[in-house]
Amino acid sequence: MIWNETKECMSADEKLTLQSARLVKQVDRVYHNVEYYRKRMQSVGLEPGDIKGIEDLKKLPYTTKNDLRDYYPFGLFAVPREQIVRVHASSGTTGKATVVGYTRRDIDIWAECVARCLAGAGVTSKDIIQVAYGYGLFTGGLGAHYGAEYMGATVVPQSTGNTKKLLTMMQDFGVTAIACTPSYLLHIAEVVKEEGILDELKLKVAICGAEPWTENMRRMIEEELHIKAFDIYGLSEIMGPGVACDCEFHKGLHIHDDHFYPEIIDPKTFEPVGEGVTGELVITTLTKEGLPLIRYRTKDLTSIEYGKCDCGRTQPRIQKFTGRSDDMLIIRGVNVFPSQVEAALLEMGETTPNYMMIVDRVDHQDTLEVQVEVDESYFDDDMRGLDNLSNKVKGALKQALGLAVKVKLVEPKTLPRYEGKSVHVIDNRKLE
Amino acid sequence: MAVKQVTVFIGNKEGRIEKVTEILKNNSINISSLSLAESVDFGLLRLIVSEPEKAKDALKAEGLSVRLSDVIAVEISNKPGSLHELLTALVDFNIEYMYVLSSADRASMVMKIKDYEAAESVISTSGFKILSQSEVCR
Repeated sequence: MIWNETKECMSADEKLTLQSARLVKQVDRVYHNVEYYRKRMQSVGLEPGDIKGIEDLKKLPYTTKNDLRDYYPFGLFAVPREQIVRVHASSGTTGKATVVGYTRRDIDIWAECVARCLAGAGVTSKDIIQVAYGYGLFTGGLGAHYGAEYMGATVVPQSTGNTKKLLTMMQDFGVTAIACTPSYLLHIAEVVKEEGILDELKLKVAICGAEPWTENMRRMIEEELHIKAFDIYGLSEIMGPGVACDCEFHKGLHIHDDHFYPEIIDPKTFEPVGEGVTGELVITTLTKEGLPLIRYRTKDLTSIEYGKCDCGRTQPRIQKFTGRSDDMLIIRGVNVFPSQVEAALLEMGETTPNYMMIVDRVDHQDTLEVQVEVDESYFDDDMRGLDNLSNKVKGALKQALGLAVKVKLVEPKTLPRYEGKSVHVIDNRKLE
Repeated sequence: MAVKQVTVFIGNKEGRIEKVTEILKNNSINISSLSLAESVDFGLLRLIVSEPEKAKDALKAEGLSVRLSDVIAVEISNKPGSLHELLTALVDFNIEYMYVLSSADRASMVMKIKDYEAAESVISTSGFKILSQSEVCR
């Protein structure tokens, strides 16, 4: 089903007119309300009047996560703080979080975008949907929740953590749809198999996102649970889940380009690349009031296909993500930068800052082990001291990353050293 | 009259203890006693050696994490009930760990005790002999 046919199936001319009008207004707003954008535009000799439409977008400078950090927490907001009705936060590249803010209208648009995605997956107001993303500062839980509620479905705000309880409710309530990470759904599928309760379930559709997954994983989920599974994409800086979502034809994720204008650039030369060429996804928010972002570099690598989809939508389709142009990892749906581990260890000051992160996937669940070198200044002659140290590191990392971590203490100088660019991550997850 | 114990952090990998004994051998250091405490990922090797300072420097030079700490070595007679007698005298103390140092003609215990000085005087007044570094490693 198509939720908003006017917007999702707009003709190319109409869309260009709408996008251009929205961009002109947005640029004018950020120029006058956000010091950062005003300075950036002035530095390249631009005034709002120079941006007359989408064709002028390429004149504008890029925005990055570092800019959000430099203006932490509210420096890039384009409205007075009183008009912000909600904030969310995600991992920054160092200690400071990346903070995003929404006006009431932003929340409404977000809810509509999520509703479009749910509708594309076949969810209707008659469904009962379990939202099994984390609720809180992470955009996943509340984002999916508001969208499902906006659509009129019955929402079960399950959040994450207790699979047995989730399955009991899924059975007892007759849950028909679920929103969660694909790896968590695979884990759920495994428990369903163990318990032999597949026949008791009414589940028919899953909307999965917050981490990259493959066609293979989608097929596995569909076969194991006898459901249809759909991919949803988003990032908190732009909005949260619901920036783009695939339809029943699975030809890529339709991006809601009446709100989010996509470009693909070469991450080395920063030059836009053509249709179908892989590069870094860059998004400009066309309607966002709280935190408008102009040409935001997502660091996600993908390509875009244009042209009408068999489903009738005319929105461009983002293809499967092939990786990142930075070193960010997504572990159990949580964004993790190696630099966060280093910062946490340095701040704690009880181990050397040498570390190695081992990421793996065990029983469809991501695991993170952090190996830390111990030198004699940090331990005494008893095991308790080392256990305490290990627990302390574990606590500090959990605090910093928002993720449970296994800590392994290793001998000094046993972690590999590399000439030049150091390698701090071994990712053993196989995506195929 | 403390005895210096050498404690080495050992990663849970093959050949790590052998590495320690090799370094000590190359430096002509004699081991009088040792104990190994282990957890899943690592262990602590505690050693009583002829030249603790030299041992520490030699092990550190090879990149190992090494600590020196004070322990008490107490001589007990090599017959039934003597360890029990010693522990009865120390019943009010928190013994963190202990291990044995024994030869044909004598026996002694190496102990790490929390309230070290008070323990030492209780041991002496209870009639036990506390050994010095040179006595331990004779």
